[in-house]
Amino acid sequence: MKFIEKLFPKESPMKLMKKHASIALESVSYLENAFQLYFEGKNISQISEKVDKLEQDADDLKVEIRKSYSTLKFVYFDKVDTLFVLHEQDNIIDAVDDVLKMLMMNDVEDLDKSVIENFISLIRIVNESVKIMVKTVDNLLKIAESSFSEIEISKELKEIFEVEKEESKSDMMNVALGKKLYSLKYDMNAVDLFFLQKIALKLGKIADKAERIVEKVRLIIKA
Amino acid sequence: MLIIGIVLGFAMAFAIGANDVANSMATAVGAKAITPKQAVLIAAVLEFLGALLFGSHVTSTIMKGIVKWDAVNNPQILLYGAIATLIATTVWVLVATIWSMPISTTHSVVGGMMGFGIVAAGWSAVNWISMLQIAATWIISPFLGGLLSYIVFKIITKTILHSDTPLKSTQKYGPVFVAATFMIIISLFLIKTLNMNLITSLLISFLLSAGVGFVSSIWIGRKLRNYEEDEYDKVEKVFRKMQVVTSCYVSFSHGANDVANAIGPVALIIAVITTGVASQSIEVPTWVLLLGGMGIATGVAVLGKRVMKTIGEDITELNNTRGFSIDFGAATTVLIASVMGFPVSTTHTVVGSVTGIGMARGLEMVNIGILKNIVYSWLLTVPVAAGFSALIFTILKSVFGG
Repeated sequence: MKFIEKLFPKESPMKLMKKHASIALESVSYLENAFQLYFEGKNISQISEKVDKLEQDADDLKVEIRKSYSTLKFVYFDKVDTLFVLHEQDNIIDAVDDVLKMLMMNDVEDLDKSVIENFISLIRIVNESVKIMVKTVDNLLKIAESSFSEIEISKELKEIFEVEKEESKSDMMNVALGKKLYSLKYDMNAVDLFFLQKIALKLGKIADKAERIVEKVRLIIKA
Repeated sequence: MLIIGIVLGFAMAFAIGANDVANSMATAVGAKAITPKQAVLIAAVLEFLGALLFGSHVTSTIMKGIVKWDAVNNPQILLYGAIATLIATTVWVLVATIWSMPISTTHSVVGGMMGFGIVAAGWSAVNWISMLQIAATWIISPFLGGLLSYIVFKIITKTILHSDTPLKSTQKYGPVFVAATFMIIISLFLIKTLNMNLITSLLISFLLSAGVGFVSSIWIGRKLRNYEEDEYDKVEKVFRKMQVVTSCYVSFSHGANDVANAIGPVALIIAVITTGVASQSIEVPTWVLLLGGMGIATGVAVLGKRVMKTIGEDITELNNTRGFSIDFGAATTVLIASVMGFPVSTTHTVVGSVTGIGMARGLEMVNIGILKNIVYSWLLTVPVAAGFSALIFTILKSVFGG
């Protein structure tokens, strides 16, 4: 007759969301090392396997969160909005996995040092965007724990405002990287050029997704 | 026959202790306010005290209200009826436990009494107005539990969670919540058990609870002295300790309310055997209350331990500020109902309180199916217990005559 405990989820879906966001960040954090190894002509399959494993863990969490939401009577935030955030977080992990798999398909040799530097800078910007995204998702739980305190909501909105100011950084970096690549069009193999440009766009998309989540969180807490 | 009645009453109390304790303490154990071992100890002692100090009022209502005495005035019939009720409800509680059905032992006993009354003297033997009043409290109690919990949580939100400095506010208002809990218990005890007048009771309970509040303010102050962690986490940690008080309160109220389920029919058996007649008003001897209290405490200690352990291993998501509000609202409702003489379901009141906090956007509540099960079992318990009791009564009557 211990059915009262069954009224509560074993683990809060919001805490599971937080875990899922952390997995997204962990997968993104492997990018810099993977690209450095790639540019040195080394094998990155071990990193790709690690991200595969993270992707699996994230999928398990996703199933758990969706299952929990399908039976939840009362929720802190709108289910549709929260599931959108979950979907985008999942897309980040998938995108990282795609990038690593693409890198394993084609080796680019003797790449200009400045292109490598631009790639690493872009990855750092992407990493920063995802870090901010994780913090924003974490704060959702804090807002719920504070019973939607105006003070906590204002703090979160202020942080999001700061983030939005940084939003254009990854786009600018992507343009700079694209320009750099196309400036090498007479010296580089055309396939490699398009390959790297596609990778750069994929990385930019990761940052876009993180920023989209932050924007959604802003709308969720303002609702 | 008296020994059979005592044994059956003890068995019923044992079943209540073994099963209901899981529901009355689930929020406290689930929110990690107390360990399963502590829950068993607290429940065993406080269920016993609640039964002993507040128990008699509900007992008299169950006995007097449901079956009309002038319709069933044969002592032999009443004896069979009481035994049939005890057997039917004990078996139904055990069956429901095996099937994990959220039934109420209180509702079962009321159904059992009703069932034998109908078979013994027809539909008119049941006091339907009284039944309606009891049934109304089954709707009112979860609603009231929910409302009280909602209000308490909103007060915690306003005074602590939404303040600029949640920790300082906890130090300021936390002792008030503890004192309020004690004031309700003490004042009701003085008014109903010691029969003191309202003003004196309120004055004494105010002074005593103010003392408790003062001690708790020193304790909370110490707890908050050093903190580096998140402020809301720290507030929850303080409320985790404060929830120990409200979980004691739930146990106490549960003992006060539910002891009647077991000893009501036993008191009837004793009255019939000792006086040879069935009177409208039955004095419940203190030793019968003791028997019920001991039965519940034994059930908690022997089987409740296993149930509590599984809850403890299966920690659920419940913040302590929410757990405190749930426990406070539910226990206050059940204790007031007990004092007023209304047999309500502790379990259903807790569910009402949980829903109240959910409505206050205080928690994520899962499993709508469980809520549906509660409603179904609510509708099913009285007719099933009544039918079962009627069947046993008919068998007893045909075997032993009367």
